[in-house]
Amino acid sequence: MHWCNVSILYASHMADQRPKSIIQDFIKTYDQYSDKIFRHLFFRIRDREKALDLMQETFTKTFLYIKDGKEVENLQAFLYRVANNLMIDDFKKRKVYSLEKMAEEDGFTPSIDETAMIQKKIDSETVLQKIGQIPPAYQTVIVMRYVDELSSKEIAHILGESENLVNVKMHRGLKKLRKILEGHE
Amino acid sequence: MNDHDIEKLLGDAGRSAKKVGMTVAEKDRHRSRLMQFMEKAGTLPAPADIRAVKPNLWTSLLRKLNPAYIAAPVLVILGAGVVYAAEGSLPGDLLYGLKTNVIERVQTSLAFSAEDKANLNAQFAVKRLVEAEAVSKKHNLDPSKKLELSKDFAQKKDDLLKEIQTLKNENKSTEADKIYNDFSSRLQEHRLILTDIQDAGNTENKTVPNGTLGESTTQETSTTTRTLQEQMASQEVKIRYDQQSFSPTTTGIKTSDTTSTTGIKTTDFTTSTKTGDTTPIEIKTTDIKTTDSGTTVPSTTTSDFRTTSTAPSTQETAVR
Repeated sequence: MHWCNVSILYASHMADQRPKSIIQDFIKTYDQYSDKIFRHLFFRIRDREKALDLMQETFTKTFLYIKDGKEVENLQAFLYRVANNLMIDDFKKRKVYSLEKMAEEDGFTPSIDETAMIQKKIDSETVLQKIGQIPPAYQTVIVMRYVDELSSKEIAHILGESENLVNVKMHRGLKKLRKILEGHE
Repeated sequence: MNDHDIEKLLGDAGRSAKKVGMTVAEKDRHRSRLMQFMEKAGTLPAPADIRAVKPNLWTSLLRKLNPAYIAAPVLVILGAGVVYAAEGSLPGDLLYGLKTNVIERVQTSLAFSAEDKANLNAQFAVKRLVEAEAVSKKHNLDPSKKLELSKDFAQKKDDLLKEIQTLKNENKSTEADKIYNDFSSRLQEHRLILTDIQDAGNTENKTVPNGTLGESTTQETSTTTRTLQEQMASQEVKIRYDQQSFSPTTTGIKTSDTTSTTGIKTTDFTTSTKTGDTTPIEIKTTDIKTTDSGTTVPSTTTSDFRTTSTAPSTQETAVR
């Protein structure tokens, strides 16, 4: 009986070492995934500084979650999910002026010159630009699929949706994008 | 443009998107920010953890009352009875190892500041000496117990010195000095038993640090540590001499002054034999040649101490 108690005590003594190793493990996580998360955020919000801020916040929020002893089964999926939620919060915050801002900065309403150009030259950069013009729900799946190179299954897991719904969104998103690129919209 | 085209386009776009990323500087900057954040957050006690003693009114009050307040969660796990029983245990008791190796270590590791840790270690080190005295009163202090006590004393003392060094590094010299002064005055009180258990430790096991000089902490360079060691060293030497004055090998020998300038001088040794079983020491006269100029030059200084196995050196004689 004493020995049982002793082992519990030793375990609690060892618990003292835990925070250090969590920090070290999590820095490895950062090294491994920070670029991916940043890239995803960047192609969604098109603002480098904002993307960096949200990337940072994604990792601090995730760290706090893990530190509290909560289980994370798929770290990459979890990070994408946190990043997405932060982005949604951010969109909500600045929704009031975002449409005008987007029109000014990103050319939300394509000019005639630009539309003409699209006919001639549709390069990868243009495609990436135009993704920003389709509805956000479609943007998410398309960026995840083509920029982050995640499978439908992984995307479904991140978004907490069925794989079927993800495929439907993908299909509709591609359709919208095509129309934009062809200058119909 | 069909679905295939758009997918191909997006595939190319995705590949070119790979070029987009953080610069090395950006990644490093956010990495160190994250590190800072984690270290700050990581030092706070986690809610589900055993260390979850948030400094509220109750705990801060307890902390002021008794540094052992941190044993509270341990008490819950271990059961108050066992800990209470271990608390009063002495070397040789069943629960003694639990006390020195587990309870005290947990207590120290649960302490928040280096100051608390140092105080606890000082407290435990002195406790070893008090325990040694308690066992010694029962005439129960055998070499193995002495060894056990001196080992743990050395351990706790080493830990203390490390914490003192930490305090110094944190620019808390005042606190460090206070703890050190308190500790050395406590040692002063218990110096006899300290020498006793440490002599046993030295003869039993060479790895036990010699005397109070922590050989295992020779890297310690703080002045406090050095002074502490020097003071302990001189203490030990003093105690050694005190003991020698009672041993037959260095029975008090008084040498009379040879001040006359001419003629043969006789050296008068008076012997005091405190241990009656030794026969009085017979001193043969020392031959002294007298030179013309009158200065005295001793030709031989050999004296015949029949009863002693080891003849004391002239320096030792001079000490008395």
